[in-house]
Amino acid sequence: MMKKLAIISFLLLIAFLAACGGNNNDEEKTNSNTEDSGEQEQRTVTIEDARGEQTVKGTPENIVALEWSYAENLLALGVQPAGVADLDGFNKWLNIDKEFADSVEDVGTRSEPNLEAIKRQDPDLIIAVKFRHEQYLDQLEKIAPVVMFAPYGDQAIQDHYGNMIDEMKKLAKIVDKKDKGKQAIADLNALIDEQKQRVADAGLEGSPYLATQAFTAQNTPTIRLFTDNSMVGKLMKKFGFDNAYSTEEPEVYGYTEVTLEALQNYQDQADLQFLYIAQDDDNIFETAYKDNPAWKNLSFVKNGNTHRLPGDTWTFGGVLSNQVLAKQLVDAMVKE
Amino acid sequence: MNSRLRNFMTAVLTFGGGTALLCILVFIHINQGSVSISIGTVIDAIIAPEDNLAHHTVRMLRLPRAVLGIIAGGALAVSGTVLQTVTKNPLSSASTLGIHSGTYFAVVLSTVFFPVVMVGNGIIAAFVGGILTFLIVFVLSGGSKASPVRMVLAGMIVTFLFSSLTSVLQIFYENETAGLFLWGSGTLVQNDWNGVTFSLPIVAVGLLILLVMSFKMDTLTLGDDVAVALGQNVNLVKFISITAAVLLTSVTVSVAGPIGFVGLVAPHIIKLIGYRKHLPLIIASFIWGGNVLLLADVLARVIDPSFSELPVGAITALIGAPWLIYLVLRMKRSTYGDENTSVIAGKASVHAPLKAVIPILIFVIAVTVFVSLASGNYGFEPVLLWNTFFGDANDFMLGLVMDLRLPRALVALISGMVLAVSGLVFQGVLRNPLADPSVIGITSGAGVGALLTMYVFGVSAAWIPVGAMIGSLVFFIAVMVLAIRAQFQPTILALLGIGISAFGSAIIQILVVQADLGVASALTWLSGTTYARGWAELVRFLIWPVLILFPLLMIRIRVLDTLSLGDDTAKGLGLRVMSARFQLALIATLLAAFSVAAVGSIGFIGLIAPHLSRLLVGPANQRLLPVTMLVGGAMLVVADVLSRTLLAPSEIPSGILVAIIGAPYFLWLMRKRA
Repeated sequence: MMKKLAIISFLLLIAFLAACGGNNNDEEKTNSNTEDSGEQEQRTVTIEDARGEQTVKGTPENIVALEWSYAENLLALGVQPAGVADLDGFNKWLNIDKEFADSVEDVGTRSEPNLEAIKRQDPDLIIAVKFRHEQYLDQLEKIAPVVMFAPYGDQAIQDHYGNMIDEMKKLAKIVDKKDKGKQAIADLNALIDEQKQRVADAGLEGSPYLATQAFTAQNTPTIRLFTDNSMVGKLMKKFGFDNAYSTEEPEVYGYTEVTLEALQNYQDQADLQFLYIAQDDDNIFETAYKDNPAWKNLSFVKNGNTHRLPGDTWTFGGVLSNQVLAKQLVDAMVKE
Repeated sequence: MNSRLRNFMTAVLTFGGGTALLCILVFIHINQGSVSISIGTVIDAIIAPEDNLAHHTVRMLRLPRAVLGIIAGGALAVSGTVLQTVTKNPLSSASTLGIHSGTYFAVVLSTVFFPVVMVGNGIIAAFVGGILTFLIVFVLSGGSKASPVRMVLAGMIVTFLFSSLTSVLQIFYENETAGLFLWGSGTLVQNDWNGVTFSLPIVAVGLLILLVMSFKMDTLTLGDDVAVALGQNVNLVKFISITAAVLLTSVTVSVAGPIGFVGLVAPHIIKLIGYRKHLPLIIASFIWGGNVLLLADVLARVIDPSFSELPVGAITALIGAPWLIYLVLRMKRSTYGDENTSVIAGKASVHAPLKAVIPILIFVIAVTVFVSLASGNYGFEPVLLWNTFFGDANDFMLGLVMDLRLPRALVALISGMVLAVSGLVFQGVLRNPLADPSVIGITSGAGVGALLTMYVFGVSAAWIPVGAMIGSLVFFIAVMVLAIRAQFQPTILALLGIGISAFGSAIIQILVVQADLGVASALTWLSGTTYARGWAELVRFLIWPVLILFPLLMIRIRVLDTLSLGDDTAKGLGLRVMSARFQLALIATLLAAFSVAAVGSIGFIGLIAPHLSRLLVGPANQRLLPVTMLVGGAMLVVADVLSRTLLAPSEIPSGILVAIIGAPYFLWLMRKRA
């Protein structure tokens, strides 16, 4: 019995392999067929991505976004993506008004999205990022045309905010929703102007500030100090604040990780405002540092110039996240 | 008279000198920081504390860190000393016995799922994890009758298992565990005296217990039989001292993270000076362990004076590893003996004939490949697969199978074979059951190469495999060049491999911490994965081992059998032992390098596939070669299917799966054959 089964399965396998070999050509044909039918739509769009000039044919409608900020920007453009990587994580960490439709599929983790799940969506465009997906680019391209952004590339890190806006414009161009894109950016700008006015009204314009994100890594309280090139830094600048912390080279992710001691370097500025993002259950300034004289005696702590932002403040997002971020930043600073 | 004077001077230097050095290091240490504070102010802050910020900085931020460095370094060193005595193995330490990985896993697990348990620095989780890990290692390696080799073997397997589980958590809870990376490689950053006040009493209690036990441990070194004859309750002594050692380790893990190298190196320094009795050994280990860790922390901040922190654990390994290599090269052959050079995992009970084993294995592989092609996000669909090829043409399914599933299954199959054979050859060449590409430093070399390509040279990620290959070859050559002096002695070669590995892992840790956000993809890659592998990998990397290296090996495999008879016999049979070792090791390295280029560092297969095969067909390498190849291939295909389907659409790196599935099975096997 076993032997028979063995022989049968082995024959099957060989048959499969043979069949596969024979079918290779057919498959290529079908591929070119679909391209042919695509040509009926005359529209082509050329944009610059991490690899240089890319031409996107047609108007993609079935889009798989492998990084959260692009999924979010698609929502801002009124496009429901077909698939998004790590949907649960998106819903957990991002705090935006718009929601994904039930039809949006989870396509696996951001670093290793599931190729089969992507293929099942039969996308006409995949949006990838260089720092995660460059290695797998050829596999992704076999499934659908890929636009690969480089949000942490040499150019992008000079100005994370500007890069985000730039990517939003490209995205709007690709999906043929330039108006919606302009509208979304205009909305954001209007909101920023509004916030700027609030800052001016409160007489805070020109104040120096430090913006941080603080969390505990076990016994290691970690403070991320945002630099000028970060989204937080750019927004604050637009509001008229002045970042007390500057680096010679822009930090790749827009922050430097520091310990409590480093904050002393900035306490000589009398009206320094100290912003921090902290989770409700992990507010190190309320727990670990609460009774620590090296924290309590910092001038801006003594003066009561510390401002907390809620834990779901997302500082690496797209247009919608930045609307929330802009509002949260000013809410924290301006107590009305 | 002269010798007494020398002994006296040694004691003065070891204890007095060590303490003096400790004071000097503490002083240098507290003068480092992100804010410049004058030396005068630093001294004032200690002698005449005032209520100002500079003084608080010295007293609340810098001093606790220095003191914790001494406590942690000392505790780890003492724990290493004790473990080395009890297991009678010079390579024992909290890391080699798996205790570090167990405690760390327990802490990461609690952080993600049971934050409640993390109260009090997670000491409970860490201690429970540590004790459980040691118990697992202890029981599965055969209890009190376990030989040192078996124990370290079990320790290594458990390390594989727990670090894989930890990686799974870190990959799937990227944001929750992001802050654990720095801590994961050990850091002394303190925000106040809490860490010290928390750990000091526990360390003191552990230390006290061990000091009381020190005379009993002296008799242990004479051998269990002698100790029993002297009226010693050996098991009780072992139990108490091990518990205390694990306690010391878990305290340091819970406040500073796993810092590996101190526990291995510091005891050796003291033994090298000449101390054998445990009372001076433990005290001196404590002092010098503190010195090693403080020095590492001082250096960490000299190397990178910016605000961001380098992990002190990595720096410890960075300075500790060359030191270990130096020690190994100086070491006389007799010191460590030939004890752990016999290949054992269990007795080969089934001497199954090759004629039966090979067809069965081929059948198993055929079935697993079939299952692999038929499985995807929607589970197992054999009928659909059948119809795709023989029923209604289904272009979509066909593309799925041809573009994604089949090439990936083949990559898994062949790289599994390549890895397994590489491990087999290494085990034979080194005559060491622990040997596999990762033990000799190749895997960590590959990781260094890959990460350097990615983050330092900043070239396209497509070059990562090439970087990995170059890295593994460079590390291999380094080990070989060092090993020339030791005439490729198996034990020494393995020790050198461990040293080089640790050095490489340190570089990896530093790069991973520095690279921050990009860390997830690097981690995924490092853990070894068949994700997104396809025809390109087959053509670029895997074809060469199959076409060139396997046939070459088939011709040379007899040499392995001769080598296994021992050097003297092999020489007597007319074999040029050194050259034969080098050639075989080179082939094994090339195999490992190609597989690393194709699928990253999947280490476990090289370790366990040869052992499984040995259980099937016995120790003759000629018989082992084809069987190991097939076993390795089957293992990775199975792991690959599960990695795609188990948590679909999320992927589990198959290297991790191999460890999670393979480790418990291997441990069970060890237990059964004990």
